[in-house]
Amino acid sequence: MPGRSPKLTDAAAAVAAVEDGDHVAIGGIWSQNSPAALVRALIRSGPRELTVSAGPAAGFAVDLLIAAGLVRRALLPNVTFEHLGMAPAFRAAVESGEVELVECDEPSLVGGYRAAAAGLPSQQVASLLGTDLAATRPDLVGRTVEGREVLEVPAVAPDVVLLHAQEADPFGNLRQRGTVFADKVMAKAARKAVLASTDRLVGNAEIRRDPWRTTIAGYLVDAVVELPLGAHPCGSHGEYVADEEHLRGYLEAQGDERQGAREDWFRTFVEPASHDAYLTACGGPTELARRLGEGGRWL
Amino acid sequence: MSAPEPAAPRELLACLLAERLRDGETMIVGGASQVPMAAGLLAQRRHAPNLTLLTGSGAVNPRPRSLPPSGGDAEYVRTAEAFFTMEDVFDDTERGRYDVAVFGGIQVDAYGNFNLTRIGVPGEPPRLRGPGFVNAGIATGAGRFMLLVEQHSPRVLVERVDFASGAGSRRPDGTPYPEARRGGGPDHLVTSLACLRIGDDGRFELATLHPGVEPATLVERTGFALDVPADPPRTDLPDPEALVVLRTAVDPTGELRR
Repeated sequence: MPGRSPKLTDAAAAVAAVEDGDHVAIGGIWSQNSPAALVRALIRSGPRELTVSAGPAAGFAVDLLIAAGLVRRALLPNVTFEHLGMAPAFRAAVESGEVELVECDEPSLVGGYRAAAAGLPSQQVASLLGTDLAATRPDLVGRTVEGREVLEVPAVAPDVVLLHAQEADPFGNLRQRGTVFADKVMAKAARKAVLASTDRLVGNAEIRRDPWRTTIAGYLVDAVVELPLGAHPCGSHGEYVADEEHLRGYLEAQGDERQGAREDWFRTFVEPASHDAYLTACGGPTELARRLGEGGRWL
Repeated sequence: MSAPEPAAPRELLACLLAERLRDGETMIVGGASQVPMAAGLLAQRRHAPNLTLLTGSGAVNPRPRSLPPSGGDAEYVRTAEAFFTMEDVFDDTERGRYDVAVFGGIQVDAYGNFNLTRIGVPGEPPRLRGPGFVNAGIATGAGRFMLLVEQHSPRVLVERVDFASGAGSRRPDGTPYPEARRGGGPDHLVTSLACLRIGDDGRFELATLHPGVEPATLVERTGFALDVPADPPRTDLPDPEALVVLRTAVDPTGELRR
C-alpha cells in the first residue's frame, strides 16, 4: 500500500512553481511572520512581470521583491517599515510608474481573497461606498441588494502563496504563533500552489499531540521547506524578533546613491544560494539567536 | 509624593487621547501607532478598564511590559489574551464593530479627511507615495475616530487633502459623503499645538490651545482656515497621577520621552 506523500522540498524547487506573469501573495504582516527566505529564493529564480499582493499590510519581504525588479503590478494597501521608515522600493516604483498599483485596502483585498477562497466571483462590501479609494476602482461595481447599497469586490486569486510558520510537519500542517492574519484565506484563494517555510520541522506524531495548534491544515499546503530563521530579517513569533539592525541596513542600502551600493547589498544578502550562507552573512545562526532569539520566554 | 516631571510632548499627546477614550469602547490600533497605543493602555489603567484594545499585531488586550515602536511587535503577541485574523477585521469593519480608532496622515484637512496614500495630481504618478491606508473602511465604519498630528505644520494640516484615504465629516471640497455611510466620522484632532474638535459645519474648530503656544503661531502653522481668539481656552496639563501611571505601567522605559 502506498504511504502518505511528504511535501518536503528545498527553497529553489518550491519557488519553481512561480512563472512569469504570476500573481504571488506574501503572508505575514509588516515585519512579522514573513516568508523572507522564500522571497529571496524567488528573486534568485527570477520570474518576471509578477503581480504581488500581501496579507494585506506589507513590509520588508514585499519591498525586497519590488527592489529586485520582479514586480509589474501590485495590490498592496500598505507597505511600511513603520517606525524605521517608508518602504523605499515600493515608494520609488510607484512614484516612477514602474509598478502599476491597484489601490485597495483590507475590505477590498481580503474581501477579494474571500471570494476566491469560496470560488465565487465577488464579495460584497459596504464600508468603501463613496470613498476616494472606491473612486479609483471602476471595477468595484455598485448595486442595491435588499434595499442596501453595496460594492462588489472582484475575487482576488493569487497563483502562488508564500507563507511562514514556526513549525510544520512534512505533510504541510502548519503551526503559526500569533495570528494567522490573512495567511489562511490567501492559502484557500491560491490557484496553483501554497508554499510554506518553517523554522522547525516536526513529526506528524508531534502535530497530532496538539492538533488545536495547527493553524493551517496540510490539505491547503503544497510544499514545506525547512528554513531555520526563515523569516529573518522579519520576526517569527516566539522564535525570534525582527532584526532591526538588518532592516536598517537594507533601508540604508536602498537609499545609497553611490554606484553599486544597492547591488553590493543584494550580492551579500540575496545572492547566496544556500540558506546557511545567508545566515553566515548575517552573523551566523548562533549570533542571530543570541541577538534575536526569544529564548523560551514564549512558552 | 513629589510632583512628576512635566509631560514630554508625546506623553502629553498620549494623555490627551486617553482622556478622549471611553470605558466600554472597542478601539482598533494600526501600525506606527505608539502614541495611540499608549493612550489605549493608559485609559485601560485609569478610567476605561473595559476598553477593548485590538492591535495591529492581531493581539487583543495585550499588556506589553514596555511600549514597542511597532504595532506588530512580538511583545503585543506575547502578552495578548486572544488574537483576531484579517477575516475578523473584514467582518468587524463591515459590521461596524469598532467604536473608535486614531489615525494620522501625510495630510489632514479641515473636515478630518486624511491622506496616507499620495501627494500629487490625480491620474499621474504621485509626487510622493505614502505608506497607504490599510483599511479605509474603518474610517467610514467605526463609531468615531480621532486624528493625531504629532508635528503640527501647514504641510500636514491642509485645506484639502490630495487624496482622502480616510473619509472625514465631508468630502475635501465640502460636499457630503453618501448617506449609506454608517460611522460617525472624526470628532477630535489632537496635535502638538492644540486640541480641535469637529464643529456643527463639519470643520475642525479650536477647543484648547496648549500652554505656552501663541495664538498667532497656531494660525501660522495651520494650513486651513481656523478661528483663533486672542485669548483662547488652554489645554489642561495631564493629571499628575495619569503621568505616574503612564510612566510606571504603560511606558516604564520612557519610549515617549525619547
